[in-house]
Amino acid sequence: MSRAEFRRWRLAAFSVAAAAAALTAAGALTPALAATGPSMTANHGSVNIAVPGPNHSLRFYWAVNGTSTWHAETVAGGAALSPRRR
Amino acid sequence: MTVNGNSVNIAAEGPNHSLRFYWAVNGTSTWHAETVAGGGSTFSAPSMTVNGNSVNIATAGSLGRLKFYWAVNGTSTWHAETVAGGGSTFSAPSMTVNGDSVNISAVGAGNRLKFYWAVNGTSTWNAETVAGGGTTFSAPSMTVNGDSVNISAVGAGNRLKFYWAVNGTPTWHPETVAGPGNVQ
Repeated sequence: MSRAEFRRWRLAAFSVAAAAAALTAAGALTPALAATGPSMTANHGSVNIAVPGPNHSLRFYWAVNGTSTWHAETVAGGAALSPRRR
Repeated sequence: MTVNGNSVNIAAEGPNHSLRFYWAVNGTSTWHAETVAGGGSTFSAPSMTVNGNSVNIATAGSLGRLKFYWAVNGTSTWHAETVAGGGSTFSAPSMTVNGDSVNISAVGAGNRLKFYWAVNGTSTWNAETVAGGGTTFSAPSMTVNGDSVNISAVGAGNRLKFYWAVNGTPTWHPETVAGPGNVQ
């Protein structure tokens, strides 16, 4: 490798390393995020929420619009869902 | 994923924390790829909506920013906005379109629940605190429901919390859907 080729190689290597370092730094300084939560829809005069429940079950809650009475249902019982990753 | 007229749109976090967008015309299997934002820009699953003649995407950005991207249908020019600055966002966002405005919710600093809105066509984002510190422990889910906005999230003690506000008002009403220990 000639001296000019070595300079070009060193510059390219430095650029790649700098870009990688910038990405790593951004990742390292980006805060950990909260886990995935519930999923919600509006449905003809009511609100529906699905969420993982105790013992890896799947729970469903609904309330008529304008009321605060929530009705609970179990969509699928224990071990229906895989353990969540944190 | 959204349906947008005669096409299907998918957004995802791509390699090196980039933001990628894919679309295909209904009935075809040819997917078109676009880079919405390059490496180091995206640190959560995106939330996407169709908003009139444009597509909107929100994500958690680098350093805990909340980012918003939009493009006019049929173009590949993506416009970036910062909804909230560094250290503001600690979950994937949830986004809805509500009349002539865009709404985004996300977990904020200190496990607050934050809500942001902007009138279509403007880049001025207005911030509200739905619930204070120590209240919110999952990414929120948000819907528009008639004349109000609804948000649900996991609260303290593994409760399931629900918040609603009438459109155009900053008063958020909390409800407990399920008590302590009912959400994993």
